[in-house]
Amino acid sequence: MEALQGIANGFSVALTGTNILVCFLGCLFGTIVGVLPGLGPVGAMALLIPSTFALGPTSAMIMLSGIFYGAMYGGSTTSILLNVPGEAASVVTAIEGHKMARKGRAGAALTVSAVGSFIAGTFGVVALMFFAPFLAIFALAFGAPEYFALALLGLIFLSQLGGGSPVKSYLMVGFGLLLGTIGTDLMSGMTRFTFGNVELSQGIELVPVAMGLYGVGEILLIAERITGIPQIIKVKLRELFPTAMEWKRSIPPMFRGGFVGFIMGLIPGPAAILSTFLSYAVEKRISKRPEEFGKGAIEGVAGPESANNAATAGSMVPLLALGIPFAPPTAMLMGALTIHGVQPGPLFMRQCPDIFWGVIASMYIGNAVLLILNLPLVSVFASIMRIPQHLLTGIILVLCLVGSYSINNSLLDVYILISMGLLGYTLRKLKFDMAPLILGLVLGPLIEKNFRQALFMARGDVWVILNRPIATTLLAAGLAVILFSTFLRRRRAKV
Amino acid sequence: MAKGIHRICYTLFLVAGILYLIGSLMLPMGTIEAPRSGLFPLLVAIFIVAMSLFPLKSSFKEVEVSGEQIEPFPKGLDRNRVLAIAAVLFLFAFCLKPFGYLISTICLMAVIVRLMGLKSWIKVALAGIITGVISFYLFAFILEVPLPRGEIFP
Repeated sequence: MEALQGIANGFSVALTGTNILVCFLGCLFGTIVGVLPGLGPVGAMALLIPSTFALGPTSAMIMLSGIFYGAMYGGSTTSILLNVPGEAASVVTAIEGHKMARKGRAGAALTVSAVGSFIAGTFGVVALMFFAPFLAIFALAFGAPEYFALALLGLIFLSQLGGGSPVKSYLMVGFGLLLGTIGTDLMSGMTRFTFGNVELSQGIELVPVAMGLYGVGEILLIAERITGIPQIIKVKLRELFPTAMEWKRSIPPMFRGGFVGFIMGLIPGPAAILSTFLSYAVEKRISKRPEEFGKGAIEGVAGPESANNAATAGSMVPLLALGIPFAPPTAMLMGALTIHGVQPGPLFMRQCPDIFWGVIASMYIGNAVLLILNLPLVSVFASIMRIPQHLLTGIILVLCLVGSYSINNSLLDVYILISMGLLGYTLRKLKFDMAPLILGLVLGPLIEKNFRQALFMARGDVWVILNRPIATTLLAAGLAVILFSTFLRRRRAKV
Repeated sequence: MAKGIHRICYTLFLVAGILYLIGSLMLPMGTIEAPRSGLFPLLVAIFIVAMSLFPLKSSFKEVEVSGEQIEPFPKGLDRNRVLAIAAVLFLFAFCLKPFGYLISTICLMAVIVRLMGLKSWIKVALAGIITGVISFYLFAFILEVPLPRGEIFP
């Protein structure tokens, strides 16, 4: 009942002129970012945070969330038409989607992808609407030890399940935590690692770091190879309608993908990407025509595309209910909230109901906007790929530079942006994942604050912390994930 | 090749971890009942040192450890282009204070599009001027972002 009252309030917030406009702009920009290979939703959100300064926190969150889930829609377009995934979560879509396009079924693949995204995205928002308030009430029982354990669990999950080398991910976590300790210690007021620099005493901002790693770093990678304008498969409006058989084969995978995606979204880590692989594997296993997979099976488009959209809604749950982001895009949302003077946490739903329910309601509107935008305008979005590379790289660089400067009107942030860009470029070459660094930077101050408060509370007795059932369960889950994935890796190495 | 590059990389992480460790030791630690500013950085520093020592040790073994693949760095003109763009970005940041946003951005955009392969000098100049002026108008007047004004050319 509370959820229904809340969502009614949310719609009254989301349906104002300004919020409808920012929702539309967020979805539009998200789709464009999804289409363009390289700059993902994290870089795009970092890029647009400065432009939200003139807006209130609710409108800012609505716009930035629109970019997050809008990118999932856009990512499928280039995967299907060009075999170039615009976004990491659309890699799986390219496997079957592009094969369908080469058979002349590009329109059907695009429609199934957009409708699946809409159905699963909406399903995800419904689940978010009921699940987040429940979790937020549960989170009221959380104290410092529980928050410390939960944030630590998030970092462990991300490092272990990220797909790359866990040691590299842990190093990135460590580096993120290191950056998070630079500046003024909020508990004692003492400055740390600032070397007398007054600007550094404010700490390292998330925006220049994320823009550098995901924006400038990506541009440097693109600059390695100058490519021409790609050939895009053209799709006419009348070709967009799937056949009755294609619909019949697509609908069940959409729902299964939605369920898999939402559950994966709740788990810390790169949920959107992992959910697509899991959904693809599920569809392939239960399909009556497994031999068609790899040759253009429509289930392989419907399932993963639905999964990545539902995962975005799922990943919003820990942020909105607990105030803890478990993935880089939600870390950016938390960063934006902090910049707007709002501190997410377990009381967020009660203290800021307009933001909490307004964002959820805007996601219903955003999903409908994206469906309307993506189907008839698919050729327009695909033609974004025709923008010359030199112009696009230059414009993105200018936006990154101005964006990082505008946060604090500080040249130091510009230098941090460029340094992070170089670091991101180099580390990507060495196959380091950037997500743990971002999450380490965001969660570091939270972990430190709760760690120190927990020790204060327990008067230094660690057993007092371990006697709290929720904290112990979370820490045990972290340990189990480390042991289990180490065991799996060793077994795989032996085979 | 990959092993050598990784060895350098982990050594750099190790050095950074040790320097951070030394820095954290200079901060007040407090006690376990009442930890102060130095304790958390100390734990993070120990974590970084441990995490860089583990793969560093493995890199001296014969067998390549899993997850140690790398993407080759570019060579020749491609490498020079990446380095030039990085240098131009630093130069831009350096020039912002004396020359201000507009002139620095026009020059930056022109150099970037040229480096990225645009041949015609007229188009290069146009790309620089149009991007510089539009972005200046957008940020300074519409979004009201206070852009650097410049000491030599305000």
